[in-house]
Amino acid sequence: MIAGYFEIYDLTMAIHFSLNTGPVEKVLKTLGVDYEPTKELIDFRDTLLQDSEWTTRMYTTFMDELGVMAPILFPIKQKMLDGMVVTIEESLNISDEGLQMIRDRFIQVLADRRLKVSYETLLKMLLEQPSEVARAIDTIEGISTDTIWFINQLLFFPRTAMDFLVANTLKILKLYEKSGLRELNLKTIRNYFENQSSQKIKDAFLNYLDYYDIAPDESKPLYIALQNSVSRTNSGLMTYPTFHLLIMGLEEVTQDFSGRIPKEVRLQSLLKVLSDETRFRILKRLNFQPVPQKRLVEFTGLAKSTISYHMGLLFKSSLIDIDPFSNIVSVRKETLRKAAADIRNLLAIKEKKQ
Amino acid sequence: MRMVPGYVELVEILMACAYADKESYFDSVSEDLGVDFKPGEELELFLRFLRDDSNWSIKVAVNVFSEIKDSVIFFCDMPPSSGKIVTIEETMESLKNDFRGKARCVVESILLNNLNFSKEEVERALGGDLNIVAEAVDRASDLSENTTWFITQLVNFPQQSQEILMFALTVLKKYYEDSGLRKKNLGCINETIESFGQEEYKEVASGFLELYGVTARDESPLYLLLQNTLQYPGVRYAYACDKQFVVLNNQLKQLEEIVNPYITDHILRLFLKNFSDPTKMQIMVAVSQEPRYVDELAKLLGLSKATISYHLSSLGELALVTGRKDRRRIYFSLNRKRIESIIKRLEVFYEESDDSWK
Repeated sequence: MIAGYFEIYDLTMAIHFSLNTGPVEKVLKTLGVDYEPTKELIDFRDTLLQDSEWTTRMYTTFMDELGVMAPILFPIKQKMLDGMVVTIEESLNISDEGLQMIRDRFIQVLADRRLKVSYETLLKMLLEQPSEVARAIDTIEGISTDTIWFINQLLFFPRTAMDFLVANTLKILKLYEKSGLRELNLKTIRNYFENQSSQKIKDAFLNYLDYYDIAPDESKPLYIALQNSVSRTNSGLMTYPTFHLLIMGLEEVTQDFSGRIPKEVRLQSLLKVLSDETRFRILKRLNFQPVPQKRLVEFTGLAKSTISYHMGLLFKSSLIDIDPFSNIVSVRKETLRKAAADIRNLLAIKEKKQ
Repeated sequence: MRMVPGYVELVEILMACAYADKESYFDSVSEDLGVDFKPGEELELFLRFLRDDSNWSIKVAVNVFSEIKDSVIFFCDMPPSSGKIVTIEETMESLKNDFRGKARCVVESILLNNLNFSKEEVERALGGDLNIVAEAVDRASDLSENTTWFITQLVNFPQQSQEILMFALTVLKKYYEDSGLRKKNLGCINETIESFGQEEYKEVASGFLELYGVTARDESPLYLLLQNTLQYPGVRYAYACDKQFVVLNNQLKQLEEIVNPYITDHILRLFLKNFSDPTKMQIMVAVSQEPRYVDELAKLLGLSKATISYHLSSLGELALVTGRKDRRRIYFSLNRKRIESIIKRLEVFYEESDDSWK
């Protein structure tokens, strides 16, 4: 278990907030979290949304939609250590060797999670039937044309794609800097690492696992990356072929998960989330069959931002799993089973065996 | 047991007064029960008439009618046969002729239903000096000053109380009519009476009694009184003077869903919503350990009796807790049977993949 800071994730969080301000704030409010975005974050968002250049739109869209790909697109070069701070400049890899590795890892994940073919098959297809691959990417559900464009670039023109990625990261980095958010985040995080032991982060992580009742595969290394842009939210535990990653808000470490959360409180917030009519219907639908998020928009007839709010709540309550690579949402039956058992326990109602 | 569905107009006025007296309480319970209750323009107008009326006896009457509405219903004659309507005029006429008889039933009901005396205690009290009753009422801490005053008057000064009551009823009847509430309610009620058969009433009422654990007396007819003013009447069952009644919502379909032993998604969600409330969860945990009464729960949770009573009303309406009378107290316990079937339903949710979402 290693806890560090990768500045690119903080920027990714800030972009995510900028594009989804309403749903993010509403989820936290419903969960009773008292969250107030910083002035710097609001400034960053406002300048970002004002920037009407097409490359900015492309970049922010796929960074938001492919946020989970960040560890692949921005690989860490040095050995990771507790309390390590890696700046955005340090994560930009443009050597030919690095480029090849990024593309290769990307193909792995794309084959496995999105296209459901083997890595070898996809490699072969890329060489022999490139237009088939492009067509297959076109049919991936739940991603926009901007993201499809970027995936195509990365597969067929990797150098262009990486140049685009680096150039735009540096461009957005300027906005990030100008808004004062970069300085604020770096200062807060450095200050935290200087004054607190990284054990506190690990404890918070364990409380997080306990709260969500998650047991990660212990054979894989686990990275906890702090972020301070939206300091009271997290990415959810993400599982990659060779490691686990959780991006945690700094205030989640210092407040929300600083202690073990009583079972009753956890149950209360879970049941509150579950008792809403729309969410209940969504869960029933998902219980019948996991589907990509986009389908839920069609099924419920609700706006995308409303669905995104409900998804956020269900996810934060551990009632659903969202596969970060395929966007497929499924019910986390274990949580429901445990909720029923917790109610039985609290009220001393024994299960009747039939 | 014979069941007589019918309609007593005064019940509606009592409901409207109760709402005027405790608006936020009714709104909170309606919210807990998942009913989207909005007082229509007629009820709003009725409330405005009451607010604008500064007459002291009207204020007292509204407060008393609200607090002991189940007992006040005993001022009325019950519907003579199935589907019949007892108008306010008929109730007032009958009160003129036999006020003392009716007042005695009201007092009996107060002792039984509001102060939770046992039947034997009531017989002893009413058989002797009525002043004893007045004193007992005076000491009852659960009743407001207006209500204890009213009961004392009823026992000691029947002549004067009759005058006050008749005056209040005349004024309230005028407001009830002028606000349009009377016309609206009569329209809805006639429709229900026409569309619902005797057997359906019986079925709903039997389910209702079973769900709420009410033991009605076999020897007297059970009147099923409909009301249309509120979504949640706040009165369930009362017995006095060999008469017994339950107050049912005019929306019988809604009631049918609740009393049906099959747990719908809606009922499951209502349970989850109410159980997710920290106070309600604490109350349910407390009564799951042993039966407890209101004062005891208030002390245990460090909350006011009014707050506890409100939460118990909601939990009671959802049949999650049941009350049992014992030595002038009502002991609440967990309705395990009901909760067991609700949890079962939650478990089925993930065990079975049903396709009812279609």
